[in-house]
Amino acid sequence: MRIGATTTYRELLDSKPLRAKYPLIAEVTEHIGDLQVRNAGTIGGGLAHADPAADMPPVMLVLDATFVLQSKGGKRSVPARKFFKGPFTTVLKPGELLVEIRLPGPPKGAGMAYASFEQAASGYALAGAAALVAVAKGVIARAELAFTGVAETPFLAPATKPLIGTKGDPDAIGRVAEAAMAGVEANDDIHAGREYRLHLARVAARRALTEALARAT
Amino acid sequence: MKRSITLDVNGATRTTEVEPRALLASVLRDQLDLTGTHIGCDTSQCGACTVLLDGRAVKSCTVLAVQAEGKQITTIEGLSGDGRLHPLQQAFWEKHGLQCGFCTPGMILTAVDLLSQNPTPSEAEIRHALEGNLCRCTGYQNIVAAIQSAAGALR
Amino acid sequence: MATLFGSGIKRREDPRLVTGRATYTDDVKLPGLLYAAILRSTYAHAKLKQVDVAKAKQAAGVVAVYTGADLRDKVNAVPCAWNVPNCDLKVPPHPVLAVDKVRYVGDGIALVVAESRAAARDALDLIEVDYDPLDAVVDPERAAQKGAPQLHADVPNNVAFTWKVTGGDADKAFAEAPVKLEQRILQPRLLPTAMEPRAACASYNPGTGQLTCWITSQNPHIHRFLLSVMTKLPEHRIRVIAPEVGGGFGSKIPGYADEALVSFASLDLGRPVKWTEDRSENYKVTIHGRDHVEHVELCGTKDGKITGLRTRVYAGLGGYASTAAPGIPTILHGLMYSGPYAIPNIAGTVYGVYTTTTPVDAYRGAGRPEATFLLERMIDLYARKIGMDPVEVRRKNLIPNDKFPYTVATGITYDSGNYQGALDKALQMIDYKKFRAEQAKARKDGRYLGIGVTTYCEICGLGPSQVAGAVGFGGGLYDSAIVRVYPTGVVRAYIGAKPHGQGEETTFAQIVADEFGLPVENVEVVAGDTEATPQGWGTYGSRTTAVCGSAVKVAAQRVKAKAKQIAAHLLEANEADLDWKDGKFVVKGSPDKSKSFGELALMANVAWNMPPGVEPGLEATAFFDPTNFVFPFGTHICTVEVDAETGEVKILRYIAVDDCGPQINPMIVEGQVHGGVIQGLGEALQERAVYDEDGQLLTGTLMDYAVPKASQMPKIETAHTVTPSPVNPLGVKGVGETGTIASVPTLVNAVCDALAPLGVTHIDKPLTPARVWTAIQQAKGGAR
Repeated sequence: MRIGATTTYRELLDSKPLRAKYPLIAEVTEHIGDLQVRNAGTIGGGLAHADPAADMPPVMLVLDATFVLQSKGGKRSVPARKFFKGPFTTVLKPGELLVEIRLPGPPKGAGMAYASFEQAASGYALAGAAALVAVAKGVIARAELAFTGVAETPFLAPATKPLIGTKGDPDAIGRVAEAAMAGVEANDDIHAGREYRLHLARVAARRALTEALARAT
Repeated sequence: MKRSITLDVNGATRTTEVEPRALLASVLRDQLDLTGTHIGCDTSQCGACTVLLDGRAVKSCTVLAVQAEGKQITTIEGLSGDGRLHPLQQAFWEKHGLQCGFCTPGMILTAVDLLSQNPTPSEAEIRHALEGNLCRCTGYQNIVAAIQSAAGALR
Repeated sequence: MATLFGSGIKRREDPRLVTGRATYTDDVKLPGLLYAAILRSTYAHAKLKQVDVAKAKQAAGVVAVYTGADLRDKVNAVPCAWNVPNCDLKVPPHPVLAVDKVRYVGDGIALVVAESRAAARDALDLIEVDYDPLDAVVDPERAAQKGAPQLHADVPNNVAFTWKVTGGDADKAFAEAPVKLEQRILQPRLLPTAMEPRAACASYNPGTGQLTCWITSQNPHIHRFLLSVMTKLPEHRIRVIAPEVGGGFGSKIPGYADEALVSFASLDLGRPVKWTEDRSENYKVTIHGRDHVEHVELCGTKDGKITGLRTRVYAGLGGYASTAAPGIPTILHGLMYSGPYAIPNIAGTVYGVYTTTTPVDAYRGAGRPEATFLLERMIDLYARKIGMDPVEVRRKNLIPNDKFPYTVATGITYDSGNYQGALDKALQMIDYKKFRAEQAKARKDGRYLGIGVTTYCEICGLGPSQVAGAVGFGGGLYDSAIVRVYPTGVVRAYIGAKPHGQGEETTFAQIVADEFGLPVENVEVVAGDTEATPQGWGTYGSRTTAVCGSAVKVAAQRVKAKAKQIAAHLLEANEADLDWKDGKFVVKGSPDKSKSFGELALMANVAWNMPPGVEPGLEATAFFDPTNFVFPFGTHICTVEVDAETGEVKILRYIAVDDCGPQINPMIVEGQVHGGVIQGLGEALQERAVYDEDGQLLTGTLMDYAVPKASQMPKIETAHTVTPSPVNPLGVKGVGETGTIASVPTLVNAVCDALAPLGVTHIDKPLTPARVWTAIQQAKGGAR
């Protein structure tokens, strides 16, 4: 599926095909900004802005989206997983625009979920986790987990492998959530200290994985 | 530097010269004298500046006036006519959904958009829809009641 | 005829507000209008070496640029108007633009006046300021220690005042008490955040010598006086208009440099000048609230009788003493240390301390929320220490119903009360015993439910002018009304107070309409223009209805007495033989002989046939000065569930039982309670202004300062008891601040109660999930 960069959040919410194929996008979009911001704000604008606590980037990471970037010189494609470079910083070059988001078809029977804790004033995530879990023959065949709000950029957790081939019992999910924060240099600000933010990220990861698994068929 | 734009504001065609950086909220207030649109913050949080752009609620402090070129804008002054109040205006009055009144135009216009999409919102849905509108006076309870009441009247 | 008093009629002010036809200060547009912008210090504390405005003066559209040096001899300093006695108060000068030093981020440095808002703003970027930075100090307790950075040359240790309150013998009580406890309590700095930012628009007419200034004001007469002091124009040459005002919460009481700057510029340039702050400027410049560091001790018996309270409080004032600042943490705080309880021995010391931060002044509740919070928090800690139910501790110490008027140890006398009545009603609504049983069961299931119960009373309806004088308030605290009857029989009340959301255009119309038997539509209330209204002292301190409303009542009674004289004359009857019935004076026993209010209005205004010696016209002025303050009270109860894993607090129920005496308009009373409670819950759960150690405001916008949103807040259940006050003819008390005063400790006590099994005793406000979680971790660590 391809989404034009200037598609508003409202249009994402109103799109039945999108909701059918990627219900997670609609679910997360409902938490972005507020009613007025969703009417005017666009998915491409939000992604290119690269706020390190935005809700949509981790969704793009678990879905393994590809971003199409265009300048006068031509087009290039960059995986979402290589797009974010730092707070409000991306691989976009001067004169280059994000014009399209390409989403691969989700794995068959995949369940997806997002769990987050909002900063009370801005609504941005203190910590948020997006998860995608695909089940085949009664065991987990694929698991993806990504975070926002925790560090300088959204990031994909490398350590979901222990879940593959298991039924995803709570202890295993808990261990993956725990391992995902190993070595992470978490943000520390007036809204959440480092230790609390790491804790919230683990809780969000566990909740997102658990819910994604429950939604997988 | 300035450029001419033409807007449809409350059903009337208005042409005005604006700087490209001018925000819609400022142009409505300072150039078109529609001061019912209020400005209460500078980070797109408070929602006092909410207007309808092609029928949808947007924060006019976060829309460039040039972006509104050729679009239909409804401000609080244009919501009702003929000396009658819009059902939401009436409901805010009846349910005491306002005190100082500063957030009220934005609240009402956001509610217009909400009810156009969801004619029977629950209390939780109303509160969620008002996330982008801050009120410091009412504690929101009577605003929620007003929107529920207007939803009934509009059905 | 049914009375309007007590009826929840729709508000008179709303049609203009819901249609966008109200005029707020920034909506004022005058021919030849210029726009002002003010350069603000980016340093919290620095010497100003040089301010170079040459480039700004040359910029397109710029008409004038002024610096502190330019205005030093032309505009007087911003005055402090509450000079609390017997506390060695030191008020250093607060120039309208900094001259040699800046003392907070936001301190004004230069004024630009230009043909457009944008041109004025753009020119600010062209001003070059050479700062010599000094150390900042933002914590009031630290600022008062030796060696802290000094803000003002003549204020050693930054201590602006040391104020003491004593009653009984606290030291003896503590020496003898079997139970003693102490707690450090923080009242974080808060940002009032009226949704309408402040603005001022000044227009000086050189032909008449008259200055008209539109100001976002809660008290136009006070602003007229303060503006007179700053501009050096006599008061009678200044007209202050506070048009529609979009909320205040105390932040629109003080005089600010800003209105003096635009007034001076208008005088200097001969054109009208307008300034409007944006939200970031509002957060840097408009006053903040609270900011106390409190060391509190309580002592009592093992069976729950409180015998003493001691406090040592450091109250942050910011860089300068704002208009009412010294009175807030003293008169409005320390005198309320007894709360609704009979506490025989009290000793408090309050240090007012200058810090390199935005000035602090009255914010909704102003001093009383801080007093109520520390007392209610201590009572819960005490109850836990002696193993007694916190409600029973409160009940044991409440002032009994038959003891009013009651003088507390701090020396003030409470007018009336029925504290047990409100408590009983609230407990019944929540079903206290049932909740405690549910809580016990939930604890077994590993869930954390809690309940907080606050019994409060507060001082408002400010107040007797004689007391105002005695406590150093720089003015009176009476209020006023002119009730004027037009020939058509329509009545207008011109009032001294200035409502800005509280609905007195409606409630005062109800008072007047009742007096004359008129439909409420025939009465209009006019406020906010010093040329139209008699001297008043403004809308704050929950005083408008108790004081100004009483003036309206008295003026209406005077008008009615005159109308009766005229009626007697026209009916050729004695006044004693006239009855007032259905809007008419009727001769007793002759129902066909009557004069309606409308007929009398016309006759008085044309004066064709007046009683001998009676002047034409039908109007009266009243100045009402109460004999005492009023003391509303009540009980608030909140139940919560805390998610111990994340620290999130969920409010299950919130019950507010308040007693503000008889209610003129219950719908409006309820609205005040809703708003006040939610504002307090914001304070309890999520609001806090944060400075870093360099004095930079980290919560400088609504992206970081968490004003409550609809989705974050619960529904409030309200109920009332009615205990009239004897100190005014309406019997009313105030209700504008009770919600904020009562709700903060209610929520905090509920959360601490929920987490009691984990060993949590106290959490500093606001109870963000991060803080609640951290407190749980610390308690667990302590248990290990």
